[in-house]
Amino acid sequence: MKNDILAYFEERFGIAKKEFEGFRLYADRKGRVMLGPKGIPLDDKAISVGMQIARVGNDMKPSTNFLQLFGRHATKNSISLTKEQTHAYLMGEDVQPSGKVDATDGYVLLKYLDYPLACGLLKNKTIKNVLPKPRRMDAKHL
Amino acid sequence: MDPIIPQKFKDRYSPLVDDPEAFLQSLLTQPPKSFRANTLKASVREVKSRMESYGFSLRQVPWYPDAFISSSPEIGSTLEHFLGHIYVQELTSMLPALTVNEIQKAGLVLDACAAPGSKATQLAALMANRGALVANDLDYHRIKALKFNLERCGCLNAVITNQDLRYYPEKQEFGAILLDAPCSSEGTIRKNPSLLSRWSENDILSKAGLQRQLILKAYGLLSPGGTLVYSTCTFAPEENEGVLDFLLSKTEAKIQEVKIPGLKTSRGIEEFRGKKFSREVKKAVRVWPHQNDTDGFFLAKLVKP
Repeated sequence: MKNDILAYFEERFGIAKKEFEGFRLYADRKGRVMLGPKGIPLDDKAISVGMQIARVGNDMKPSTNFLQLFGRHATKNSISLTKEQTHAYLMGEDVQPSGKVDATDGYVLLKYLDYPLACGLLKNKTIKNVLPKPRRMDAKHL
Repeated sequence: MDPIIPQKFKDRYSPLVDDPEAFLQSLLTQPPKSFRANTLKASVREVKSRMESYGFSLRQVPWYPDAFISSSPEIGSTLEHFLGHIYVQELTSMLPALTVNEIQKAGLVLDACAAPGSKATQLAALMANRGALVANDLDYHRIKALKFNLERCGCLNAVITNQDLRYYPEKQEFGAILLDAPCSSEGTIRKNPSLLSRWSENDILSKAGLQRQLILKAYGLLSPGGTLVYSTCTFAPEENEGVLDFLLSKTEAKIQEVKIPGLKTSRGIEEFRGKKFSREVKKAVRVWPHQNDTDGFFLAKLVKP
């Protein structure tokens, strides 16, 4: 599962495996994949390691936190949002992309002003909102 | 309506301060809003320019170029907050992580009371995500916020534990430890004036007892040559110099001078209500709220020979 996720990031977003050098992948029984330090101190006491980068279930879903950190290495399947679309997405709403979309259905990297913003799910020309509830906000300043 | 400052509180602290009137007056006003650029995800220059584009007037903190004071309280409603490019944090709370000696060489670092993560995320940034940072907290409910903030800030080198520090497993030594101890929080009265209505000297004494156990344990977890930064956000000497004095009497710990150019500070207090502390405690740093328009804070850097 852990190796599959790196292959998926490369295939779907063009994020090369070398970007993860220096870190190690961890997986738990709930299908969560984490990127963390190479050695875990107090491994039997650790209740969380590094950052969750994906969840593997019926599909592989990259986390927003992961895409914010590594999204600048992405070369494909990204969609740029306008200010209004960004506000709506951060509020938890689905968004209709404007103009020509250069991405295939599936998880996409959403960008705003060239910043890797979040993970979205492109389906039937709509960007479905997959932002975790605690991450949603009413961004007054964009 | 101004909060009422108990007479006992005034009597206790007025003799310790250079300017008692300014000190008491400062407690009646809110400190300014501040934030830190998270260098794991953005550059300081980029953050500054983006935040200024919203019309916020920013003042770079003279003793910490990553930090800014903002004219607007709305820094938490910005794109930068969502992106994890900034962390809203009180200025004095940024001091402990800055005090650690050569943090990138420390290897394994422990933030002993880490939730909700302001210091832990700063430590990870100063470590540039290298080595490993153990962020521990006793309170399971606060771990959720700690994890959320570490992930939002892109901290990859962090490991979270949920242990009572007093019984922390001793199988690993740490090159640096931050012990931002649970305290009576008098230094945050400006933000939380309701603390004054609950204020009591009994609370101070009970916190001091816990802090003594915590500092002794934390010192024991330190590798030789390692740094232990002890801090509180309170004024009470029993919770500050008294705790250092206790550690010095039990161990070979040495206090090192802390220099923070650009920040007005006072030295540690050698005597309080007839109790004399080791003269070494003078090397500790007190930040009174009126000195820099911040919260009140106490900080000491200890090294294990």
